[in-house]
Amino acid sequence: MRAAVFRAIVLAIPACILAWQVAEAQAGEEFRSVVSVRVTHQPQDATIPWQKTNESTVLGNALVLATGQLLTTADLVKSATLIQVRKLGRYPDFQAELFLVDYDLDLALLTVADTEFWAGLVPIKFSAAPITFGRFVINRWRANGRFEQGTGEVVDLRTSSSRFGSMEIPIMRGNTNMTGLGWAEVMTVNGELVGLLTSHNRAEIQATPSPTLALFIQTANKLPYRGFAHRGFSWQRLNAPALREFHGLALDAPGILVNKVFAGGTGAGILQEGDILVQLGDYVIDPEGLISHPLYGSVLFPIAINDTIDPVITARIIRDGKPMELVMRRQRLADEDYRIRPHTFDRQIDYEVFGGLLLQELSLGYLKAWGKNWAERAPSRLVIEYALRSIRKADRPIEHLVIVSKVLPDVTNLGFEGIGNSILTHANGKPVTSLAAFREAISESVRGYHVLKVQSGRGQRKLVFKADEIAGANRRISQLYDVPPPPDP
Amino acid sequence: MVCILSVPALPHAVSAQAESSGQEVEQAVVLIEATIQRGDWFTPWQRTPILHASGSGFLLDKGLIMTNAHVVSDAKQIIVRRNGRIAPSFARVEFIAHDADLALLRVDDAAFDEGVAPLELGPMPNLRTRVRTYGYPMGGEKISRTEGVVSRVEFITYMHSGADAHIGIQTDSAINPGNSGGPVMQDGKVVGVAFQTNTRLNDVGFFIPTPVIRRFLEDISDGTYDGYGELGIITSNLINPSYREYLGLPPEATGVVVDRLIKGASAEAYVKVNDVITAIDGVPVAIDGTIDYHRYTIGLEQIAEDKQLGETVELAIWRDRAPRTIRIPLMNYPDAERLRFRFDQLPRYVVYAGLVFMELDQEYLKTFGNYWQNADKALLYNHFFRAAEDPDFEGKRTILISRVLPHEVNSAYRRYANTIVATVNGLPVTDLEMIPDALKNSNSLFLVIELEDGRKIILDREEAERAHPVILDTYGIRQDQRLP
Repeated sequence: MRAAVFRAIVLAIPACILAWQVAEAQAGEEFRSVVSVRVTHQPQDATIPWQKTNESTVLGNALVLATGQLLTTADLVKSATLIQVRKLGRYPDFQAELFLVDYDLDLALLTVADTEFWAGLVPIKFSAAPITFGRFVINRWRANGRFEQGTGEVVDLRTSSSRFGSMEIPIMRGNTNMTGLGWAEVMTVNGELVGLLTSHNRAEIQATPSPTLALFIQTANKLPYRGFAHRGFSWQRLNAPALREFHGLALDAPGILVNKVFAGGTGAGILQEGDILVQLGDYVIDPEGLISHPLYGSVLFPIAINDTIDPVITARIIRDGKPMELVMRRQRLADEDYRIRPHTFDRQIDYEVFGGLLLQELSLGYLKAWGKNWAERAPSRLVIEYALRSIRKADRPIEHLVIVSKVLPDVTNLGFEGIGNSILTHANGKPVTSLAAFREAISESVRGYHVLKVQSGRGQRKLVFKADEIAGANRRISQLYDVPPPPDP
Repeated sequence: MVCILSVPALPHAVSAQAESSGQEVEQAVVLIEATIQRGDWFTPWQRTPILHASGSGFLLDKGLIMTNAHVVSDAKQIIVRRNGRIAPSFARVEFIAHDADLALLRVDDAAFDEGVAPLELGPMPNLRTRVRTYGYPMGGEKISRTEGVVSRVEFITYMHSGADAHIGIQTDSAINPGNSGGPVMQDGKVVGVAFQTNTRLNDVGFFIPTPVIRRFLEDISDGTYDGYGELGIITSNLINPSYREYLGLPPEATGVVVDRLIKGASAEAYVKVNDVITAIDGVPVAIDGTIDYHRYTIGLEQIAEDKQLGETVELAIWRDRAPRTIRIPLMNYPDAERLRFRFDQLPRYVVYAGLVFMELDQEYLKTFGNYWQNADKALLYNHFFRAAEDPDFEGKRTILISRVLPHEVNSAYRRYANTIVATVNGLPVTDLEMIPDALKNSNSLFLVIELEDGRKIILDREEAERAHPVILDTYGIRQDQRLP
């Protein structure tokens, strides 16, 4: 099986760090609980997958934890080549290592082996309850070594998709006059942690609330890391009286309607289309899909799936008019549950150059190579495929969509130059469901030819290569365009 | 109809005239002012605000003015003025071809063109030769004349319909808003009708050349405009030698390979996928799909472009490693309508219990504004790609709930706008016409609408029936459907 969609790097934690115990920071001492993080990153170039982009460095923040770790965002440390941390705004810099990064949650844990680093730092107290509205303090280190505090205001807390994935978690939304945020700035109220800032657009900020952060830390230190779970199905509100009556529900009865069930996630293999989902764990789901959460108030039910670290969750449903109780395994979407991966950080991008056709599995990272407005600028057929069919439905076989991302011009592909960014559907008569399936399909030619079919937008189009010439062409093209062999699977 | 006699006689009649001098040309070029009101595809029971637009035209025969279709589309009133003649005359559309962006106007006022010689149609101009464009850019009262050279001849999309491509000529003679419909002249003859620009290019305008104009005039010679036949053949080039060898083509053979046949179009019953088209009407087809045409190299479709519906196109093809010849009668392709912008017609719709049912077409997508590519992705997929990828879907219509007009009976579904309808009361939805009957097709207490994304809309039948007239009244809807 290929690498999972999250990456867990477990390092040996020095005994001295495990034994590290200090009192929690007092209000006004936040500068002892927040450290600056300087990250150099160099992601793979999604459009030329054997190359890396130019390296760049960004300055962010991390929170000192009582576990002897630092908490920051996955966004800050993605594709990192060097992570350095600095405490109290003063030289020296210490090298940090990734302990665990979860891109679905946009959170990461760092460790620092040098015990000297931890002297003078104190963990911050986590607020037991998040703030759903009201003012907070933003704490961050600046490049000039000064600690800065500003204010903002939370206006809303809602269930929302995480930054890099389709998982639904509680997200605080608010505003501030500070600029240049979004790099794991620490949010406090009365000296207690209430959230970690994950994004900033103009005056608007988003942040992950403290209970989710605490749950992540708890889960991350209970190896093997299971991650947070995905619901694994699409659903519909049952807030129309006729809709409820049609499904045999009383006007005041709780529950939502399960529509399509995905191949992976918590509901996979358990729930069925047409089920009425009445309760998840301790939470009764109202007809609007809302639960009454003790910390977050009235929020959409999917966050109930990640309310504890228990491996299972109980669901009460109504199926064909009969009440039932089901035990569902809390699980995230695995790599095989995606037709189009939401992220490919920290991994070599697999590719194949065949007759000058550059083949790769479509990912959101590839689409985002078109820049900030990628949804408008990237090839529309591929954007549509991502929007409609990125998660595999239960009745579909495992598939990672393969595209011809570009054509490296050569005599062997004369006439095929215009088929960049088309979907590869067949090779030698076999469906192409992944790069591995493509490699298998071309292991034998058909009557002396390799025949590929692509979806061109105007219909299927064939691409033909002579089998006895393809090896020579591949060598020639690899030399000409300096293409190394693809990474080992 | 007068034109039945006069139009076919045009080429002969005008050819007898002397070439027009610059002054004579200016006499024959007219300013066209149109009052326009269109259907509203967002609120389909209403009309858009009344707009005033102006363009240009030229006298093609006594009382007949040629212009662009887009100058007079959806016009409620058309006024024409000749250069230097203050008195306006009323005109009406005699023929209009939205797919070719051409129209003929009739002016009944005999004094309008008294003493003015109509302009004569000329040939296709040569590349790099000079042309003059006449018209009334920005609606000014005085005629304007600009000069430039013919810089390119190619198949281009005619933006008026948004879906039709014909031969078009590029020039650097300035063509600005208001020039539309004006003549492009060379050696005292009309070599084209100015019609569009490309804002991404500097100082570039396009005009409709005379083969397209002549085809239009020939089409209307029987009193109706029938439009273009659609071969409906999607091909790939055969530039690649391996591909040619794979198909068993002789080394010297040229042509293009058929990838797909559009359902319902002319060639579907005659041509097969993997056929190689080697010649069309005896004209050899090159490996990139081009032919020699009037000294230009252009796509093989041009042969069918010049023909009328019912005429045949002869294809020389290579099938099963042997040559053969087939003759294809040209037919219209009705499904192309959903891909075109619509003019001189009103949107079709059905409103029931506040749910607005419409057909997905180019006009509907336009309601999303300049950023229509940000429209719901399921709509974009069905409109632009699905027919090419799903043979079972080809030719089918996509019916959607475009809006939900809030009322107690439907308020739970207020977020269900722009959703594709799969079934109504268990009946698969294939067109808009079936919706009223399908809504009645149930003895159950409920009206059940299944959406393509898996969601359901369930309404209490009796409550919906009671709410329906109230909703029509509340939202000012005089008719609950338009299904002409």
